[in-house]
Amino acid sequence: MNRVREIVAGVLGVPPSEILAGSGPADFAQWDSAAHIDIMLSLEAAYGVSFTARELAETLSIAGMEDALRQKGVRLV
Amino acid sequence: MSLDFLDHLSPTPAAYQAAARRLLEQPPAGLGPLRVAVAASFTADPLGKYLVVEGARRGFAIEPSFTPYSQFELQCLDPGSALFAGRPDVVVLATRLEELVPALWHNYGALDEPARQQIALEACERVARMAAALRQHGTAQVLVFNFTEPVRAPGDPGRGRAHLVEIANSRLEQIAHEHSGVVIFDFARFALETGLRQMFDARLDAVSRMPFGVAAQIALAGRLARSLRALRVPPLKCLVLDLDDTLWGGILGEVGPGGIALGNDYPGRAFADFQRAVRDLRRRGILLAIASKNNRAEVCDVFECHPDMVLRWDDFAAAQIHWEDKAASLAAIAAELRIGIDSLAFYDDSPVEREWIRSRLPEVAVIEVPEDPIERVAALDHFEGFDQVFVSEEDRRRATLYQHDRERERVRAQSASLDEFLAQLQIRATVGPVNAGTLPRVAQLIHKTNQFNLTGRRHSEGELRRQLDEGAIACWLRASDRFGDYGVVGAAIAVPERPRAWRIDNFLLSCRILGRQVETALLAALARRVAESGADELIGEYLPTPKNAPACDFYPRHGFAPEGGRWVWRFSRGCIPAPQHIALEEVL
Repeated sequence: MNRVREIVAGVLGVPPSEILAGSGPADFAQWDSAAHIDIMLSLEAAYGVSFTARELAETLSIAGMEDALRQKGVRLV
Repeated sequence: MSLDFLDHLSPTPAAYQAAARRLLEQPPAGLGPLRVAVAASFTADPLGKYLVVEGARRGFAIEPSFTPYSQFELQCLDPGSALFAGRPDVVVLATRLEELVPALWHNYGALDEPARQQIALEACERVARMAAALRQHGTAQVLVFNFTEPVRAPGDPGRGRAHLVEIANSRLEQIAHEHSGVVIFDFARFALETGLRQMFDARLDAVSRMPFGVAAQIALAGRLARSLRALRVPPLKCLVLDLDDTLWGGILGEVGPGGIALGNDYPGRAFADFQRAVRDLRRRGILLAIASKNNRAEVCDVFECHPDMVLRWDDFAAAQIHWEDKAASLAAIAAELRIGIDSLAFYDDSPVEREWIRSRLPEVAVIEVPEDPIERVAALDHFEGFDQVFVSEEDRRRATLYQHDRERERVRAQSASLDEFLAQLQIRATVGPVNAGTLPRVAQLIHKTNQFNLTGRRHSEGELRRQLDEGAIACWLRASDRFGDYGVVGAAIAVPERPRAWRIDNFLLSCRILGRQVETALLAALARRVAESGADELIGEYLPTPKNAPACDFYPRHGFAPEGGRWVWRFSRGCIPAPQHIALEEVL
């Protein structure tokens, strides 16, 4: 498991094991738009990347986040 | 629970969110609860987690709440809103010209100067209405953001916008001055220090209407928490300073007065700058004292003869210059100035002395001193113990007041008896009703007075105002003698408890004037006003606090009779006599 899920779990306040590849805002009541921005900004800081406004707003699943990071040259384990 | 987990927090929303959750779910013991409602013209909600963490670092368990987007104004104006229902201790009015009056910057180029000013002042009046409604319908203190220029500069080349923002911010200051309990948060200063472009995050502004990036949000929350702390915690009273390598560079005993580093050039300039920063503190009422291991004569020589000394000998209220232990020096300074040891801050370049004071006197605030003198002014500014939101006339004159005290001490030493001393002082006292003009000083007295504070009840300005609205009789006392004016040094508040029986909710006197029997004059004046309102009895309470033992016999000493743990004066016995040696004047 990589840090993406840890960061998402940290923001949402749930065990990392509850975060699956397909998890998104629909799966957690606390994953509101504010939490979503927190997740994306924390990923930026953790991986040293910068998302566009569109990516911030529209990357709505774990798999999507991992893809976006890979596209920016991040090698995820 | 220790707060160690807040050290080395990584500056990400996730890390702060996790820390804030932990703080909210298991509030550590010893943090003071503080409900903070933020009414912002932008989406301020992301600041919540940073505020919780920055509050905890300063001793507060902040419970933040936020008005829903675009409802900030509505909720401030409506006493039935969720904002009021949350009974906040502090409301932060975080409004920006960008949202309050979008036309100002959007149409800037099309507006003439009078129209621009009119729009900017309209924004101010809306803030004034919100602040006034918050104060009228609630008890929260109100922290008002002032304004900045927008990140993108519209308008004509050659003509800036600073004057326009300055006009608006001057008006905001005036508004804060006109409403008690309303204080400016200098957001403009924060923005200048941070930089508008550095702060701004166009993506967050577009996606979530939060205009600031993560780093700026964290810094802003820190600054806000610092201001919130200053609203609740009285400032320390005295800065105790070392001399060698603190006020000047070098060891005086080794290099002599001519050899110390002090002046306009490096390295002396760093020390002169530091002295100017210290003088600023003195000018707003912080007492200065010296604790130095030195030869007193040599030190006096520097103060008298060195051309580049900024601080004068008279700027110091106390000086302990000898080769004995500095912990003893600090205790002696506190005793001489009649303030608690916990009112002292200690500044010494020597880590050994700092550690010694920390271990011997844990209640003293020990300021961290950077090794490089160049960084010392910033470190002093960074220290929050002297923060104060309201500086009274008494604060500005405090150092002079202590000089008068020294002259009084000389008279006391020459007097044969206490009565003779008191007669020689020629004390005059004025007692008047607490009203809008005197409320801030009285609230400050309630906040700061420890020793002669009969009940320890520290009502905020808002609570005090509510008591007055509900019919309380509240008096202030101003005293002077032949050596000078003490300023407003006493206050008393009586509230009706049941028909014809009033209770003294609190009675306090600044420790500077203890032992002059002016408390008797204040009690007599208060009692007379209560009697005139038709009361049969006046009830006094003494509630012990860790520091108010000097006031324990106040009511029995004045002839109050014990009754159920309290003290009662029945007006059937007549009024309480005022002391003979005090010329008492009453203002109605």
